[in-house]
Amino acid sequence: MSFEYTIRPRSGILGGWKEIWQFRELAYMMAWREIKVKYKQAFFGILWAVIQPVFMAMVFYFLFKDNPPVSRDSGSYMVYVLSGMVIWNFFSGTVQNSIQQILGYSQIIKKIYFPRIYIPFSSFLIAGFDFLFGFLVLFIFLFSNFGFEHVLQINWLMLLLSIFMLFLISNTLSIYLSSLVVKYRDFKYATNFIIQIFFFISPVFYDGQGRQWPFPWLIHFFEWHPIGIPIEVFRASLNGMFVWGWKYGLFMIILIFLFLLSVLNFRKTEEIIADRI
Amino acid sequence: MKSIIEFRNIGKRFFINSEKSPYLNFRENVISILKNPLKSFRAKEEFWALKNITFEVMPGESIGIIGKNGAGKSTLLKILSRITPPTEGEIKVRGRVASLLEVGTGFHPELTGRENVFFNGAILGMKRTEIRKKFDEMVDFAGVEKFIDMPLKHYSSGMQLRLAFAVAAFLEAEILVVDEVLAVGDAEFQKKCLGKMEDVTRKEGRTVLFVSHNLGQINLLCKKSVLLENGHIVKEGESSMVTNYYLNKFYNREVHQFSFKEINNSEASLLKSEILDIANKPRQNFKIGEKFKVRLIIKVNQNIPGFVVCLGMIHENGLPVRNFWTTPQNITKGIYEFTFEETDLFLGKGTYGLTVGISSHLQNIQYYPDAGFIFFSTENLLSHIVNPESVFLIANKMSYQQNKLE
Repeated sequence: MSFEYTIRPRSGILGGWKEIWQFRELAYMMAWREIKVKYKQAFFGILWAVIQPVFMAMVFYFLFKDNPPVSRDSGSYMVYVLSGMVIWNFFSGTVQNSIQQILGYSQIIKKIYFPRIYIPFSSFLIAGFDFLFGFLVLFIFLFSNFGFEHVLQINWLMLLLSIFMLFLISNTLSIYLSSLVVKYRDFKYATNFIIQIFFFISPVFYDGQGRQWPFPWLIHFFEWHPIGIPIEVFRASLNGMFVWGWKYGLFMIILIFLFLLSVLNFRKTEEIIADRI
Repeated sequence: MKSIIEFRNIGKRFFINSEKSPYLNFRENVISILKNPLKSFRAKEEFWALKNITFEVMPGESIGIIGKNGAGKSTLLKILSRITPPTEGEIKVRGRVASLLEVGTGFHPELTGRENVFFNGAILGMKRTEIRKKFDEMVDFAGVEKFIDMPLKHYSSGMQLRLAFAVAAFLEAEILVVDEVLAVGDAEFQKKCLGKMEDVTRKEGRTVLFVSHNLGQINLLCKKSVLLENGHIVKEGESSMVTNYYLNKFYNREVHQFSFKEINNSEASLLKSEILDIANKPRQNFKIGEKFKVRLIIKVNQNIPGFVVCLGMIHENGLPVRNFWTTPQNITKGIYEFTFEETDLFLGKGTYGLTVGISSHLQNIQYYPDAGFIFFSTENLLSHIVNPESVFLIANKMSYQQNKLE
């Protein structure tokens, strides 16, 4: 028989990596369930995925359109804000979903075994679904305002790289947070609040350059901003002006390292989640 | 044959820290560590939910796990289904484990029955193609074809339970873990589930671990049982023996009397059932061929026309053996005693569950599927009994004649 395993006290209840692979459809199913529930009873349905980032982008556009707080070569401010908004929502959506998901799944966690790592992973897919619709709007906006030629310029490969960066950074964070929130509910409240603050020190609607910051380190923070870099890559690939630099390479290496660390750490705490939640 | 599950010395320890709130508060923890750094390392009160659990389960066997609340039954199943790790010992498992869930776990009220089946299947480890293949069978078993594309919130709890049971029962798992889910649902569905579980063990050769407080169900379904007490195995072996032991031990007497809560707003309800021997002494264990009586105390709350009490006996293998209906009568308000006595029939070896039905003009008022148990054993056999070890349920002698014709 192919299924033979031993349940042991420490790290003995988890299946191997192979089992995680066998359960791979679960990530999709969990995301699919959440998305269905989310939009099922809404009259506007999936339109909500579009309305939120577009309206937010419009608010910032009308606030700052006369004197955009970005450097002159940034192109259209509307594209700047909308692309920032779409990526930001992807990130914050993943993190917030994963906290919501792990608490929402607490009943199931206590009753069934499944690789818990799919809770943060599926959150990325849920946020990714909204992202696709946001991106569609962005794409239509680019097409209608700048024409077919502009759309041809898009560097799709680098665009995917920015999404991959986002995958690494948001999953690293949500994996850590989901094992913490199981033990301390404080992290649920803290996360929402910190994400809100973080939004205002991220290059979503402004680039943070040439400003009198109360803390000088914020300038360097904007240079190595964990969400700022994916946003930067995303914007540059939309404009077809992406230039590879060593900074991105180093950034990727750090991200991959942190991501692997978080997954390994989660695998260790995974088995006691049911006792704690 | 190799065993399919081997529990070796399983132990599970919990720490009780009574001062702290059940779920932790970050601030409290930080403060308590700051206040007294040594205190947090102080030994906490420990509690062993399970200790030295060792037993084996063979493929195709169905094992009942019984014990009082807090004896460790659910913890044992949780360790087996890998929800929580043991503190010591190990379990060798040679097959996929599927747990039958409580009603509603994993079901989302906004999603349709179909969507919930797919999700539930996926979280139990099924592939979508696998679910698709078995989908019709599941829905058919649950009997919810008409409602399958309706949101689950419009389902009755019984329909939800049927659907949940169907998903788990059709899983391709070698081991099925069932934790007291059959307590809900109507009698008909319980029968259907029990039938399916019998199929699962007998025909499909799957292994079932079954936790229940309902000793009748345990006796029906499980050949072998394990009795847990305070985290230890106190008895294991044939189900009828273990359940008997359990009843005798924990109630410190034979359970010859079963009390029932009066059902609110019911026209009539059973208060007590009692098993007596011929001398009107309460007993539960009988020799085959010994006479016994069943005494029922029934409270009637209003005048009921065409009132009938029905006593039934079901053998441990699920076979309905006997029932008897009283003559219909118009009954007035009051508390009544009915005594039934088996006069001629000798019942064969085994455990018999008593069922009691109260009805009016064939309209059911109350039905008690577990109104008591009687055990018939082969010890100290009486002489007028035939074939005591036989599986046949009637042990009377027949009269016969022998004539030489040619």
